[in-house]
Amino acid sequence: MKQLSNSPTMDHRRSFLACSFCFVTAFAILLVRLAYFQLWSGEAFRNLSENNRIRVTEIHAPRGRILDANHEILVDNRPCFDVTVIPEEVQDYAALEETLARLSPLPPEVLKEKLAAIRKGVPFRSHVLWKDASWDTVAYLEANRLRIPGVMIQVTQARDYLMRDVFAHSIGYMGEISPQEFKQAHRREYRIGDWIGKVGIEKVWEEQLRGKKGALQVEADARGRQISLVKRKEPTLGKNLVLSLERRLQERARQAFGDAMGVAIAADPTDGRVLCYLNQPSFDPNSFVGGISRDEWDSLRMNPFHPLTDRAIQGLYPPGSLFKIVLAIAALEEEILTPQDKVFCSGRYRLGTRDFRCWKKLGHGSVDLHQAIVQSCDVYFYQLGQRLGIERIQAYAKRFGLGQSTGIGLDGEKTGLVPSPEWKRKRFGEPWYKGETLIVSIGQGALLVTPIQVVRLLSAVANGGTLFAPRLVEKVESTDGKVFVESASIRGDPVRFSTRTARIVQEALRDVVASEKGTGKRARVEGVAVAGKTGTSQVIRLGDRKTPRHEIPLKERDHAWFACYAPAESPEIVVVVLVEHGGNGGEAAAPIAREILDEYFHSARPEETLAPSPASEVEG
Amino acid sequence: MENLKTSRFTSFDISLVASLLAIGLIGILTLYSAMQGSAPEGGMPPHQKQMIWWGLGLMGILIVILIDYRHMEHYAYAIYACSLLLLTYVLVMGRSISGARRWIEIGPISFQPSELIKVTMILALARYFHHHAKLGRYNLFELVVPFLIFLVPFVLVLLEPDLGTAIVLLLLFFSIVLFFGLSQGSIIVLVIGGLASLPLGWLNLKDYQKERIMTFLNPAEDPLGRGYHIIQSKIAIGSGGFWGKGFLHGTQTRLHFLPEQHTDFIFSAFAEQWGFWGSFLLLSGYLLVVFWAFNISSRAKNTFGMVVALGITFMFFWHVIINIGMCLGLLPVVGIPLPLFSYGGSFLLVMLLGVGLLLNIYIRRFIF
Repeated sequence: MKQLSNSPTMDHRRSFLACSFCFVTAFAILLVRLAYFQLWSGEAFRNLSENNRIRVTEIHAPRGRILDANHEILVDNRPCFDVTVIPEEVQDYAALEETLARLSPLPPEVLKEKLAAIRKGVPFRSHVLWKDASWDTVAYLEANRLRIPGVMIQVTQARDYLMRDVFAHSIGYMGEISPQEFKQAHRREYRIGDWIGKVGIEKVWEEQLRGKKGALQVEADARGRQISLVKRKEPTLGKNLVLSLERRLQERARQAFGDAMGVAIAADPTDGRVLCYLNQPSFDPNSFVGGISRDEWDSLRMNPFHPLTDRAIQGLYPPGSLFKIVLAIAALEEEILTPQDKVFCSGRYRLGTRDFRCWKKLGHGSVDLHQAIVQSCDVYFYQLGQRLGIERIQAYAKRFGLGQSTGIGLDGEKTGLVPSPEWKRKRFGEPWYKGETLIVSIGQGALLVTPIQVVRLLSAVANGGTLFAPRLVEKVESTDGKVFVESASIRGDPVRFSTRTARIVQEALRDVVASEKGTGKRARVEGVAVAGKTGTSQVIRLGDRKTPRHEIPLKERDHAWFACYAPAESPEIVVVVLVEHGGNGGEAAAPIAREILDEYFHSARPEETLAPSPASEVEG
Repeated sequence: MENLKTSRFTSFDISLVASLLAIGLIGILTLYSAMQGSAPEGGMPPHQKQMIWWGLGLMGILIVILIDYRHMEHYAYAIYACSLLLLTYVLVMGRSISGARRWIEIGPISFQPSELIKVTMILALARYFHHHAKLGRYNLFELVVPFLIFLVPFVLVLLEPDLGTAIVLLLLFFSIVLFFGLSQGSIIVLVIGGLASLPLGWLNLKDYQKERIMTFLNPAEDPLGRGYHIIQSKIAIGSGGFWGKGFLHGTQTRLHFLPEQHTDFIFSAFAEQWGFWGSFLLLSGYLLVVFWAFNISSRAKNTFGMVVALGITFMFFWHVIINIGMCLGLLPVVGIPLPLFSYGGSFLLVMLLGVGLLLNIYIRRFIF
């Protein structure tokens, strides 16, 4: 018997030898295999990988559609032909440029730039040169394919904005990804030359709308013909958005607006769903689809009427008499007066050495709160504002969401301005004058609001005290109807005021439309009680205007407001209309609101024509 | 006791540590190239994370060196039991990531106990053979305990499921047992038993694992689907040619045709960029490491040290062979990473702990 030696390893000599042999053999096998691949058949594999025989084409992921509240399609996709270049297959860039210059809608220098960039790109991918090529271009390129190697027509999809200019501001449009956007975006999801939502819902909901691109890896011969498919990665479809907007309301609003400029918004006061969101003048987002030309872009940008501006969230206007609603609530809550207290309006109100005028030169006589709202008496509210003081006015304005963004979820929303002595000191280094409080009391002066803020404010008055964030998107769902995000059950912020206050103000608002003396008569809709308030925001301040209205240059005419809700007893819809330079609210804005309400409540009926309005005393 | 203050560092094998570090450095560069053009998934890019793990691993080596391995023998079973507890813990409590429960999460760090068990199982086996050293072959009865030492973690790892690690455990166990030698009767019994349990094993494989084996047997059958990995890997490696396409110029890598190119298929990404000469050097490097480890085993002063070093040698060997064999289409696709190269903190840490153990045994080779 052998003995265990004192060195354990001595006992396993044979095993050590055997293992060494195994190690060397195993590594040798790997090495032989490696040599076989890299040395023996390296060329073949290199061809496969490099010599342009494996080509990657992206499979376009259809972008989600955008639908209105009734699932009517607002934005669809349509097939479109992109002219693309595969750098590795191009033989002569100069010749290529020459040929393409004749066909391309791009200016020659842009074309040159793009081709230079593509030349440096991944060699065997197709790079988009321009989108949405015309039939002629497609036919020419396909016919001459062999003469101009490297150019390929790719069928993708383009946005089709079916409603043209009607939904332009809410839905927005798409454009080619900019270098900054590319930096911020997920690198794997986008490539230079891809399209991305630029404005509006297209931008904000980009993540949901865009699907995920698929890819085709194909083996192709030198002429670019497919030999075999190596790998196919399926694209993921984008998700559909269901908006709260209703096409018919919006189209009716568009009709009612005619040539006027301004904003019409309708919303559900019980949850903030926006039903109509119209900006005038507008633009056609379809002109962005193939890449907008410089001229076209300049003409949109330089247009003196700013068609690209989303006035609903970016337009800042003094609220005019609409602000009296806030003042009335503030006064009742602070118990500054009882509804029965009367003020005598002689047409002017004297503070110090200055006269502040009521819009009605001869005065309203003796008015209580109800009448002051119904007839929009300025003197009454001068006096009210003076007793409240600017601090309390400011506090209530803020409570109703003025001076803050509404959270509608669109880019570029402005917050407006609620002036205060402190603000004035900081901004101008001047003290606050008492007279300014009076001017703010009737919604003029430095006080600035956006139309969407007014919607939110009036909704809170209508629903008895809840500020909802307005929202445009109701649901995100897949094509097969699976719902991903549902916006229902969003909770608002409370604005506290008593039910008594609410009742008094609501009754007055109702009489603004219902009573013969009311300023909002023209918003009456058959069979439905409408409650509302007119407003006029001065463009030229405090002018003693003697010239007749039609002689004032358009740019200097006042903006007309009308904000209302209906039915007055249990509100379902809030409508806010602003007509820029429309003059006076009751005259210019109320009829448009009426049309929208009519569409909402009587949509099944044939359209009624508006009877020409009798001449009446109007708010100034 | 330890009269080593001088010899510990003089006998430290600098050149081999340097070559390990060189492999690691190339690994990080390759990792960087493999992640080129990927969306950063938030947080640190993988190559930076990997560097941090390297830092941790190097500290781990220092700690492991300081404890005389002969003391470790004393605690081998306890250490083994602890890692079994961790394995059980992930199975019961672990968060499931793409269908597998493998990770323990401590703050930002996630760790795989299934990696740790590779080393601790070696320690436990070493202790057993240390106390049951004998001349000649072992029969089956003598191997019941080592078999149980292997079987418990093997089953736990299979349950996770982590087929790759389970295969490594299996190979480690059989390599060590065969090293000591089995009686002929035992071999016959094992072979019959193994063949009998094959169908049982097949039934217990997940569908994707079955597919991988079928694909390996016939990759051309479905080049778009299951055979895709292997074909893409072959194209990447083959197209590297002799000189390679150059660092960051691997077209296959850059376009992400390679699946798992930062973990299991990282060798393909490397071979595409560095070609045959680079791959040859890398393979030589690994062979060098294997023989260095093997050499330490053969010079160990007791059976425990010998088996530990042997186990770690096999651990390196099998990982390298299976991973590269898989990239070269010689072996089926199982998730076995490439040591010091593939992305993955736990695996790297455990490999470096193994290196620490080797150095530990190496610098104490003159002590009696």
